[in-house]
Amino acid sequence: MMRFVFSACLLAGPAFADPIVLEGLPPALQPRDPQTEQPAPTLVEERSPCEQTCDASVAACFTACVTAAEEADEASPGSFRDTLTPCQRPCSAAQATCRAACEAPR
Amino acid sequence: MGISGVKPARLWHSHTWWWDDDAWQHVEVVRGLAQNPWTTAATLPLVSGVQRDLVHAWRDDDEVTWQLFDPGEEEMTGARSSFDAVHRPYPVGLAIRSGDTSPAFTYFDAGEDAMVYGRWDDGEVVGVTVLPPCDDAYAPLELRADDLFSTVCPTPLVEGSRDIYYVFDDGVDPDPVEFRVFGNDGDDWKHPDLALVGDDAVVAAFNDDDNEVVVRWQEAGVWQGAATVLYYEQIDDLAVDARLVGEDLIISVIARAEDAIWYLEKYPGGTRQRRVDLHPEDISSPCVPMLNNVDIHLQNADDAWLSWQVYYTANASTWPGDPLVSDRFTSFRRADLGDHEEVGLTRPHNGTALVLEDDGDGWTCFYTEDENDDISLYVQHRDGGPILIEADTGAPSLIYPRSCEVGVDAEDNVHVVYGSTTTNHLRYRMRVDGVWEAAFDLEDSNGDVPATPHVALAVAWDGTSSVVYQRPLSTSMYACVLDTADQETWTTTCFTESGGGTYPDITTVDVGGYPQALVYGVNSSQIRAAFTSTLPGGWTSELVINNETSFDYSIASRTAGTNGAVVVAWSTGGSIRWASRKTTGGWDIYTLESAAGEYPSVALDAWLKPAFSWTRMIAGQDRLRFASWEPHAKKRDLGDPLAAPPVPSEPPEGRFVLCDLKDSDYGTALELDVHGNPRITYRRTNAVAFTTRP
Repeated sequence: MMRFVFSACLLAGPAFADPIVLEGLPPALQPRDPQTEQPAPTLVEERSPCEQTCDASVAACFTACVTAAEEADEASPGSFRDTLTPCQRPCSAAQATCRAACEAPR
Repeated sequence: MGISGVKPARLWHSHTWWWDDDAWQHVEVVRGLAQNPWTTAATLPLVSGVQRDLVHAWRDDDEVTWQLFDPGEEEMTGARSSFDAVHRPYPVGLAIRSGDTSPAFTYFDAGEDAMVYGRWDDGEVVGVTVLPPCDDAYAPLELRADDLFSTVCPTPLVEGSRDIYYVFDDGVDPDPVEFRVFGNDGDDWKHPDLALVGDDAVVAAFNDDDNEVVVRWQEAGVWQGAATVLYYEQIDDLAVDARLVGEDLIISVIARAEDAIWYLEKYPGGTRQRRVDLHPEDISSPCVPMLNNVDIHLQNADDAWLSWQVYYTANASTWPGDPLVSDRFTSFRRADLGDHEEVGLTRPHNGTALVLEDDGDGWTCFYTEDENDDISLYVQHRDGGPILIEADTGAPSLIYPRSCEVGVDAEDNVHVVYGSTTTNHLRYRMRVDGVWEAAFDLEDSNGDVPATPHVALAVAWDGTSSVVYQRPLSTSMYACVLDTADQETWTTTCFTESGGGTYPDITTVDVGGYPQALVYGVNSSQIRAAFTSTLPGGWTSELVINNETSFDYSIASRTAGTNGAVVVAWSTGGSIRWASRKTTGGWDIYTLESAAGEYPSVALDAWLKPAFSWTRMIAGQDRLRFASWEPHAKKRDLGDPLAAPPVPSEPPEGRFVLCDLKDSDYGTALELDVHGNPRITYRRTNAVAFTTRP
């Protein structure tokens, strides 16, 4: 991944005449070579198969809400949340109902 | 020096933990008490933490064994000593003077057939004094500055009536002096406890007929009160401590009622009560631990230590089975036991931001919108009212998690960044030496920075600050970061991804450290983080996760010795997820909860384990949800007292424990205090709230 800095003009002024070098940081905080990026994630969830089925059934609902919110925000900046939250409620309710059925005595 | 108001802690087993200003330290005093749990520990005044320099006493059939413990040496000092005391299912009363090696006791003496006081001297208990009014029951004990004893005890129950007596040695009379503190009213008084302020006594007890917790106290030896601090149907245990703050006497009572703990306080202006919602022990019973004894200690004018105990079972299906008992300790600021809500606001916007000062006080910022759609920006200190930063910013309804953010440096200078469409700029304003300076527009190397709903701020101890924001360039949006050491000269770094910069967050490494890690979204479908090891600039971006529908990002970074951690949290809409950066490169991705939530905020505790707050979407009742790592949520879990004690430095293993704290409408922002206790600000209907939990 190439890194590109827009208008890479570092306006180093007097206050940063001596850049702050943050030494001694543990490895987890050190910047990495972009070539070594390892984005493959480890997914960890503790869900029953029934719950996973429920979540999968509503995943598209949630995704559609985010998409709708983004589109609304583009048309009217600032409306992302106004669109997202009410859109998600029926998705959430459907998910809760489905999951409750998973836990019901058989 | 005498013992100043430190009540003996009643322990079911003799482990000791203490806070050494950096971490919890632990030592096991004696094990094998699970079936014979009636032990006592008496402490000297606490310098920092709990149970420093103490004596333990525990029952062993018809003997009481005691031993001194010195945390400075991290070991018991001296041999164990024992004396005969017929077994009873309650702890002995126990007290010790600073620097002394001879504790004092109250216990039931078979020879006298009565409750007695006695003091260890040269291998035996001497000065045995019968306490005539006392029933065969636990009698809390204190030693006054004059080295004489004071105790409180219940009388025998007669026809449903039981009184509470204060019994003390006045140094003159051969027999102890008795004073009835509570009773003579036909009621059943229970659970007395005693604290000393100088030589003045403070006594709390529960009236089981009137269902009230009542305190009385002495002023220059003259009894005052009574004052009721709580009405409740049943109290199972209580403890009292008191302290003079200037001329004001503060009386604190901690009371347990089944699974609930109440903090009660009487101060010169009145009383207050607060249910202490502790972390859950079981995910199926949020916020409801199984409790045993409780204790309270006022460390200073502001801070208190609270201890409680829980039953612990490895297999809940065997409950109650053979429960193990674990101690929990935490500290809290007395002021924090009252949640703060700024009510009556006009349509406050959803997003809030929070930053803590050294003493744990928080600053938050938020927008309000009036009936004319005029939007104003405020900041607010935990103990103060809203401070107007800019009236009628003109900003549209930017209902985003961080349309403003606040930071504090080591000089307590306050930094605020926010969007103002009055000037159509991202703006920066500071309070320097207590004076609010004029706001100024931010400008980066590409020119004016337009007002944006996507902005975050991190401030270092020396005032160095970085602002991450989304800005338009060419025909798209990009994530950019401005670094400055003096808020005059700024260095710009913009990242390459078209559509980047949504919902950014930025963090210092450790509290007071330099800004070094940030996160932002790209088109709500990719999460990227950036790091720098050289300020200004030096930012390098990397992928966290791709093809992830996401928003509301939060980032935290912290070091512990040579270890460090960076975590990111976000919402996908249908779940709350988080990622931890691997030391080998790349990120581990986890799902915290597969249920709809918004406004996640993440912080790292001293064990580098993340804690989260977010708004859980539940139909008709959104909740403020908090999650922390199990060993932390359980505080210092000692596990099986029959097993080898844990190694304090051992990294915790466990799970996340979720806990619903409050009704919550919208955005949350989380910080952890020095002991890992959560401090959260969030939105409620027409209010911005600040809550804490021990």
